[in-house]
Amino acid sequence: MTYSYIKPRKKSFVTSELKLLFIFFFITIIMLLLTYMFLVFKSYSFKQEHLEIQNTKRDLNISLHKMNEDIKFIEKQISVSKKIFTQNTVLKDSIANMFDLVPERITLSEAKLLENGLILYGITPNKDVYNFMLQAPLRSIFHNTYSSFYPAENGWLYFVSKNYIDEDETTLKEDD
Amino acid sequence: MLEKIGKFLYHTIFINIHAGDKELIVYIERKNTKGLVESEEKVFDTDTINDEMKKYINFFTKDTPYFYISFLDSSTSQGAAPTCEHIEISKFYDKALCKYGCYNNKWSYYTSKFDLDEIENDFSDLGLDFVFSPFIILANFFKDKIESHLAIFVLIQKDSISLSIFDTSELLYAQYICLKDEFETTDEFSIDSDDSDEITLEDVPEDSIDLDSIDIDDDLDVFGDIEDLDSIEEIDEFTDIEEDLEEESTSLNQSSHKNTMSESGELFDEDFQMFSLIQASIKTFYEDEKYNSKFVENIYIADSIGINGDLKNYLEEEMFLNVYVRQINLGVEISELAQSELK
Repeated sequence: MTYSYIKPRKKSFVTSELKLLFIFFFITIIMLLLTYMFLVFKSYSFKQEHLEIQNTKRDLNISLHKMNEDIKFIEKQISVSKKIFTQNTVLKDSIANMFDLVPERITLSEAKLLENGLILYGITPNKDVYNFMLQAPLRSIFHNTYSSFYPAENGWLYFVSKNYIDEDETTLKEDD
Repeated sequence: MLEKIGKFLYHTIFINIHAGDKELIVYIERKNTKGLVESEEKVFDTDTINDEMKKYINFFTKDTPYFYISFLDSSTSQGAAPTCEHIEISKFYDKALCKYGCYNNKWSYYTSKFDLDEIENDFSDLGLDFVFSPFIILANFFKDKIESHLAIFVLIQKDSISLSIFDTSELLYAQYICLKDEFETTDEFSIDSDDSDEITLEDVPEDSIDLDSIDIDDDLDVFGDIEDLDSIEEIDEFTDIEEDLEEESTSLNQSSHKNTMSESGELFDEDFQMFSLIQASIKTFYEDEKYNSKFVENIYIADSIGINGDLKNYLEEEMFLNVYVRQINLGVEISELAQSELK
């Protein structure tokens, strides 16, 4: 039962000091939240960056591996090319040497370079020229030399010279 | 929920203000959830709220949002009526001009809206939560007697008398008497050595003391002989004094009158005037057909100012009333009322 002529004012326990305190806490919480959000964002961004870097690293590794393989292949190619070049040089030298061996009086019509031998076809004025001027140097190079002759129309002799290197001996020598 | 937390955290302050004679009495109670922590009363010699009073109240209110300022209505245009019925109320006061409330749906108390606005305006800086009628204080204070007795119940303040007549909780009559106004009115024919005009009974206002009814016959000089009325135990001679007063009132030109108004004389005068006002009020109750008059033998006085025995003696000997005086601390009563409002 109320007997007062007027109604009491509404009371709130939130005083001006409390209001100030709440505002302070509110601002602090907002700042903390913002800081937290900033850190979360930064962390996410950092993770993303980290992932990207990892991907790049992986890509680079793959690329590096590929490049290493390419390098190896190229090196192999170089080595093969060098080998071929050397072989060619050797072959060239061999051919040059071979042609150097052939005297002026003998004419070669065909030459077959084998892996372990040399077959020459040509024409010689006579057997002596052949034996002294061509077979002698060939025998010094090849282990086995076989020669066969048949007469030409002009009185010269066609010859076939088959020269082989004995591989077993060559291997033994290399072992020594 | 929030309020409970708030009341647990803060003390509740009840600031109870009531007006005295050119003074404002502030009674403050500080309470917590367990009960009363401290109480304090201070009297300010001002009839309006001044800076000192504001400072004093703010000292208590600054630490808690839970403070309630209550004021005991001291406006002159207030009273109580023996009905709560809207139709009948208009016999006693104008509903449009008054703010009123019902007490247990038995009787109503009212005050002027204009005066209430003025009070709220006076308290605009401090704020105001409750304005109580002195009749509510009176009804609560004498609740035990009102419920079972036919008697006059009077609340005496320094500047006012709230008089009511109850018959077993039923209000028969009520009147708020502002002593300041009444004293000013009676001063118009008060004894003054410089005033040579003869005062006739026709000049006396209707609501002032009826000298005929109290048989004043004798000389005012007797006042000089009764300098200390507090020391007089037997008031049997009162009629003689009144006779003296009457005689003296017929010879106002005598120069010795001013000296006779000693301090005891003033007290006597005040008590006598209070008695006269009560008597006039009761006379209105008996004579006015508006009221359901019954013969009353008992009077209960709630004394907030510490009246001396004279008033009691006048009432006993002149009106043959059984007088019961009970001391009242208005601050405490207002505070209790404010607290009960919040429950």
